[in-house]
Amino acid sequence: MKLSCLQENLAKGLSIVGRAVATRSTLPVLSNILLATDESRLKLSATNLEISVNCWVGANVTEEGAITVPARLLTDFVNSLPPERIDLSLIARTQTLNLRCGRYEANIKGIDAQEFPIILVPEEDKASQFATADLAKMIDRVVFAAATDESRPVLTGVHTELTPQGVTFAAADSYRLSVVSSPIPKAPAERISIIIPARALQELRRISGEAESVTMLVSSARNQVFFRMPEVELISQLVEGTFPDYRQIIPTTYNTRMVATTADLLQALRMAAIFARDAANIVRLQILPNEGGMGRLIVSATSAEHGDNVSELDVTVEGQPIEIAFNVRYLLDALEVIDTAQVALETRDPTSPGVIKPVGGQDFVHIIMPMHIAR
Amino acid sequence: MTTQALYNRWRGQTFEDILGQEHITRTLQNQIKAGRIGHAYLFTGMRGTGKTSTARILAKAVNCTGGVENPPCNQCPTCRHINEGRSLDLIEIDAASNRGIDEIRDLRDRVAFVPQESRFKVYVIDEVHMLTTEAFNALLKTLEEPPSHVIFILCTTEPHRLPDTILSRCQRFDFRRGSVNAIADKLRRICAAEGLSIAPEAIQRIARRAGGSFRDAESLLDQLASFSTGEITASLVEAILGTPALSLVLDVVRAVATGDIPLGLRAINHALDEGAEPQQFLGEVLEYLRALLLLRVGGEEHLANLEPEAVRALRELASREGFPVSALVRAIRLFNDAGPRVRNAVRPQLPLELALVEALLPSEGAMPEATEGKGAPTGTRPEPAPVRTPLVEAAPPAQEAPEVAAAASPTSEAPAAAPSGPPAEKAPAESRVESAGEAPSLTLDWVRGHWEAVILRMRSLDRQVQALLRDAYPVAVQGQVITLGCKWALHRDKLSQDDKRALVEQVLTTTLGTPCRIQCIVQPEAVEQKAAAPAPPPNGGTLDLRSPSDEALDARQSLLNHPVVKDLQRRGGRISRVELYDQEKKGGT
Amino acid sequence: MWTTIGHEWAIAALERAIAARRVPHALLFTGPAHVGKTHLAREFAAALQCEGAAPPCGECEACRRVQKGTHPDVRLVEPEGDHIKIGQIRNLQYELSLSPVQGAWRVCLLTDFHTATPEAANAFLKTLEEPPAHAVIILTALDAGLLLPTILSRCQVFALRPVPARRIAQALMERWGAPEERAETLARLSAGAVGWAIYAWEHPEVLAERQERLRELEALLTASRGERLQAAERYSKHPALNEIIGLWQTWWRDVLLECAGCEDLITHADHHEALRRIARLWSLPAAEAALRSTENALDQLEHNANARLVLEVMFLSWQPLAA
Repeated sequence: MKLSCLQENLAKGLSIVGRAVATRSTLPVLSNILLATDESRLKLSATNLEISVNCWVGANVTEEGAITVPARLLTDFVNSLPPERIDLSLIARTQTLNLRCGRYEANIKGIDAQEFPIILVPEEDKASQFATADLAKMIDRVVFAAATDESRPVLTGVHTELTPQGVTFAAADSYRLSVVSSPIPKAPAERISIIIPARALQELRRISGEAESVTMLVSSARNQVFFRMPEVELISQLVEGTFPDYRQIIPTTYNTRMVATTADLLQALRMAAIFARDAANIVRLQILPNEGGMGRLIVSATSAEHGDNVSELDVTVEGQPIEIAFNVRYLLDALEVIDTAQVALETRDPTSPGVIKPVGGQDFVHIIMPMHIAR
Repeated sequence: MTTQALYNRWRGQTFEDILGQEHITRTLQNQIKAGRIGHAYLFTGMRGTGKTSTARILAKAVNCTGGVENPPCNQCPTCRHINEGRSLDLIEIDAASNRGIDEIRDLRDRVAFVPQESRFKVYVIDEVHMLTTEAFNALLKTLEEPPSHVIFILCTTEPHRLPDTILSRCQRFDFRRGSVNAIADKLRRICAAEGLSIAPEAIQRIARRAGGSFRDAESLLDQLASFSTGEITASLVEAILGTPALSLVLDVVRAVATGDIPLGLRAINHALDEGAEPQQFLGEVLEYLRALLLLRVGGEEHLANLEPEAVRALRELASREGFPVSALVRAIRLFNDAGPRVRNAVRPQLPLELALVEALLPSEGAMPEATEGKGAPTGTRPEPAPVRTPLVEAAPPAQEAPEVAAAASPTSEAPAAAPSGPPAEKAPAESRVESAGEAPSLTLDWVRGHWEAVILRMRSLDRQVQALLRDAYPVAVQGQVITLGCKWALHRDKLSQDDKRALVEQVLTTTLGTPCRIQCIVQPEAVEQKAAAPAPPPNGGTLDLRSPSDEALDARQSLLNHPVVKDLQRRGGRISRVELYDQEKKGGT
Repeated sequence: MWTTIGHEWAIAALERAIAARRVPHALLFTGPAHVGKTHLAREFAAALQCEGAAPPCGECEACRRVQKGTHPDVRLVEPEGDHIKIGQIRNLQYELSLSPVQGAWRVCLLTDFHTATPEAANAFLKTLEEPPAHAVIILTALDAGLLLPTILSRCQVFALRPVPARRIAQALMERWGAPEERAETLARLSAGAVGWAIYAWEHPEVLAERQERLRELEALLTASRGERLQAAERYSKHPALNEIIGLWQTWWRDVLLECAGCEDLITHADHHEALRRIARLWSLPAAEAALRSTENALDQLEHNANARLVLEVMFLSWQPLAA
């Protein structure tokens, strides 16, 4: 293997694949990055057997070949080089990668490329296409609701459903649920339903920044999902199992509906969060209707040891007065990903789910289970 | 895809499916009917008796929306979601991996959340005994006043590890060990439904082997089903489970009864070579030896469960003359003792062989003990060495003597030869008792003569004990029991601690060349006596040898003080640093 | 082609399970050290992943990777230090829920599971009971009695027994080209531990050392008391003391077998002459006592008794032979 490329390009490529490198693994080769020539490009690959990332870097290839080298070492070295041309060559006998850049040179001992897991890429016929900006927004709205506790692995994933009409992402733990839907530029002809690890979507969001659109493919064995962007590919294993039937949790009616200014509500809740910290994060919302659809919202938090805090907001209210308690962290998590000026909260009674929706057409629903409050 | 394990496929879905636990399922059903559902249950019982299954059924039953008379209906969405493992309102927590206080605090915060789709949020905490003490305390707070929408079900195989405060707040249900019949019943049901063909004896064997656990039985059945091509037969069960061939087991019993050592040794080796599981083999040998014993003392009724072949063989052996019951009891005890060794041995046949040979040797009581104190045996005539002189006073394990042995104890094993002196801290090991009569009698002078050597030797072993011994002196000897007079009560107590006492006894045993035990009393004048007239080494062995290290000095010193060396010195042996051993060799020949 | 030596019944069962598509989700291989537990477990993992016609073919990419330990869907978990720890189990639980990367299964092989801490073992119960559909969990352990009953009852247990000496000898001759006599000796010495026999064949110093130790043992029998005490001191510092006593134990067992007239069962067939000579001079009780003394010694060492004292007692209990 013999090639040359620019330091900036290589450094950028390494940062893209870098997060997929396994940090602790029984397979030494997984803490390496695979470098392989691919026609006139250099292909970089890393995998932790959950997420794999491939990235192509423009290069001048004079001799084909492949090698894996320790990711940390390579990345740190390349990052410290000046922005000039780097010459890479493989000394096959010793499986050592030689790098030269100006007057700097390094030899890095590698592991045979044959040891690296092969990750096959499926045909393109069942592809779906996303606009990157929309996809990023959707990911933001669901991933935080996925469980982090791995004792029930399906809940650490994001349920993803593709239909000819578009895509629906849903994530839930036992206490909240986020569902977001959107039409997409290109949808598959048939319904596909899979669970993607939340980490994979977070990583996708990180590396998809520059691409305009993302193509998604699901392998026919339903064990892998591929996201393809120009010069970058992310492949994720899927979580096996049955996702909870979340649709039936979403209430269809309400007895109280309140609409508040998103920014005001956020501010009141952030304040309450300070006091709720020592009280299981419980915040109380008192929704009081007035004449003509107007009303007040009283947000309060009490810390038995440290004091309390009350805020009052003008809101519009439809229906019954109600007092309901929520985990304030959960409310904040949801409100922080709402970008409309106004937000609605709907509920039936203090023990029914609270439904949070942006006001203004977007297809996003967040459900939070209220807290039981002793009176 | 893996085939779902039988025990999962056949997990009970209704209260009626939980076999052998009617006392529990009926109570739960009545509670549900009466609407008196508890908020904290504790399910205890050994593995595979239905705890988790019942917990899930209870979760379905309290939330069932099917409107049937005896919930769960297993049809409504709530039931279905629980069955499919996708309900958000049944939360199974594994206390083993969430055992800390943080996890339980987190749980405490979360129980305030109301259920998403059903009436009750059910928390099943499995292996609850694994929680830390702090976690239990945190859980206690939650159990004290749980929100009305929450039901806790704590499950454990080890209820004795739960604090009383937890126990007292739960309705406790003890799951019974499955009876062989109940297990066989379930196996029959499964086989019929799965289309497995199985011999009735095979079902019985599996049910017996399962030891009361339904899951064990189902696992075994699963394994046999995946192995067999046709009918599951009793012999297949034997092959997979490593059950030894009956004929070889009976050969060992026959060897014991007839004194045919080669027959027994060959049978043991044969069985293990053929793949018999050593512990099972031992278990079977014991079972038939016991049957033989019972037959000898006139118990016919125990033969009912045995194979006709075995009954014939045992009857014949039982009618033999010249085979005392006491010998049989001894054999049973020896084989029983071999148990723990069989498990750990690299060569599991070895403990079995030893048990057999020892059982058939002339009984120990009749064997004179050769001791260094009497001089080395020099003839070529084989003279048995001391057979069991444990260094560490290994108290016999509590389970050592099988019940049968206890029943038959008024025979030669009775502790007739027990030292009549004051009883030691605990009963001496049996072997000691047996050999006590034969042990050479120690004299106080002999012990005192070696006292300095004992103290010196102790230096490299335990300095603290050495210091204690410096302030003690032998005041009496009775049989093997040496009474040490200590200066202070504190010293007496320390020396009486098991580990220190064992160490002193070790050193005394090797120094004096005969098994010794000590007993400590407070007698300050004894120490003064010693100080006044330190007993010189019996023959003026010089202590002025100097060597580079304490350790080397000790090694030499202990040699110098060894009774054999002293014996030789008495006979005019000359000691010099390098020629010590040569000298002795010359003396020996 | 299965390369596991012995355990034919287990291989047949595993093959059938694969052929009948009744692969159990949790298996446990128990048996003494070096009997071939991990080898068989790994080979079963290869058989599951194998792309060839007769799994495990041993030649396809998948088989090759499993054997080399680089198959992405076959995960090996070994004790970290002395134990399998809860952190290892937690990582594994999540990994198992993910779909396999290349093969049809995600297999995880946990060796020496008897070393798992109680927390780790208990934490594994849920996964072991209801793992994801594509997961196969294989455990190995020295003895079923060392595991929690709750672990046992969730596994299909394959209790591997020592491999018959003739199978080991045959394998050494056929596959390693060992000469018959050497193969027989190693096979008998191995006590059914295939792995040990192969190791000893590949490392001739093992047998040389055995010769030396047996020579020393014989020398001790004609040695004076003083020499025995000296030897006790010397051996008490030996790092492999337990193995040496174990070796001597097999030798005394042979003496006992000789005394009892069971020559055919002896281990050290190549020392037959010496054994016979001693057996003539000794009686069965003396042989039994010597054998028992080695057993007591090993027992006491296990309970941290002072090694030198233990050895002194043992050596002095052995009857001197007239030179």
